[in-house]
Amino acid sequence: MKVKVKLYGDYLRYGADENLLEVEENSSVNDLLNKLQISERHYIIVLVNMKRVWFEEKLKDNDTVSIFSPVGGG
Amino acid sequence: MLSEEEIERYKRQIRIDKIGAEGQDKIKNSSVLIVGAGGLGSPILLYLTGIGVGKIGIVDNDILSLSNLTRQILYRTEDIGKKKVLIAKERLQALNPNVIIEAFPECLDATLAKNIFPSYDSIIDATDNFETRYLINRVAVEKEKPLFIGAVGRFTGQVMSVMPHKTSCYNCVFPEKDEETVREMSKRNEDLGVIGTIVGTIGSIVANEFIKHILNIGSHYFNKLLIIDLLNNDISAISISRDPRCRVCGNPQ
Repeated sequence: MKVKVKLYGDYLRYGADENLLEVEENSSVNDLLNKLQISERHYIIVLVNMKRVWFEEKLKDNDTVSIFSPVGGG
Repeated sequence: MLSEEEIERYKRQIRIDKIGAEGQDKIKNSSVLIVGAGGLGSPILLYLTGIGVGKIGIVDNDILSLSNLTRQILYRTEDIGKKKVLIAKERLQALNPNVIIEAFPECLDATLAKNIFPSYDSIIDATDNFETRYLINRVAVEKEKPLFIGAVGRFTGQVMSVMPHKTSCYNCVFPEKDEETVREMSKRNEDLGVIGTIVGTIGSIVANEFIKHILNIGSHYFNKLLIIDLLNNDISAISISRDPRCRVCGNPQ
């Protein structure tokens, strides 16, 4: 199945800002992050179809996954 | 009602069809509390004072240091060693004597937040650490105060606006982790550094969000997270939604 991956800010170094990726059926967010070689799990925020999800969440065909992390300075 | 002096002072914005004298009156009758008088706080305070917000509160306990001057445009080299809010109050009062400036030279804690948030229409989060961001969000939601949030790091900035119990709160998007992680996040953010121009960009957008809210015009970053990356010139507004299980504004099971 295919998912659309959108990377923001710091995560642009892991790929293009928008990418259509082939992932195995039944893949989780965690599997996708591993595939993108993103090991960071502390600060990362993942949205699937604009809703915040946890790493175990299963992905579906045609999902849009947005990946970013908060900045906190003022 | 606006005085003659006010009509002359504000005429360039009164001319905007969405504002007019009626809008200027709304701005004059509004109040906002800005937490943080640093990089983001500087442009926010300067613009909101210039525009003529009736009452502005400032909370910050910091003393100005040399490395602040790359981006904290309210201050000058000669101010080093002085309390930021006290200099800020003096400068802002000189910019626009019509505005009431209330300075709180204190560190924001839960008691202070609960005491002073109710005296203002809205709250602006312009702080430099995650601990205070979570605290501001909690108290703003509890007191039902619209909250406008700006945050920066390196060349990146983020903006979101919160209408408590109606739109996504800060904790819906960035759920609070354990104390140690939150401390680490603040430390990491400080270590990343920051460029002055992103602070000016984000501060202006946050100030603009508050003004549009007071005037009830235009669109807002409610249920949206704006991410601006001035290094790659990428500007994205991500739609977000409330987390029904949010520990701050939802019903955690």
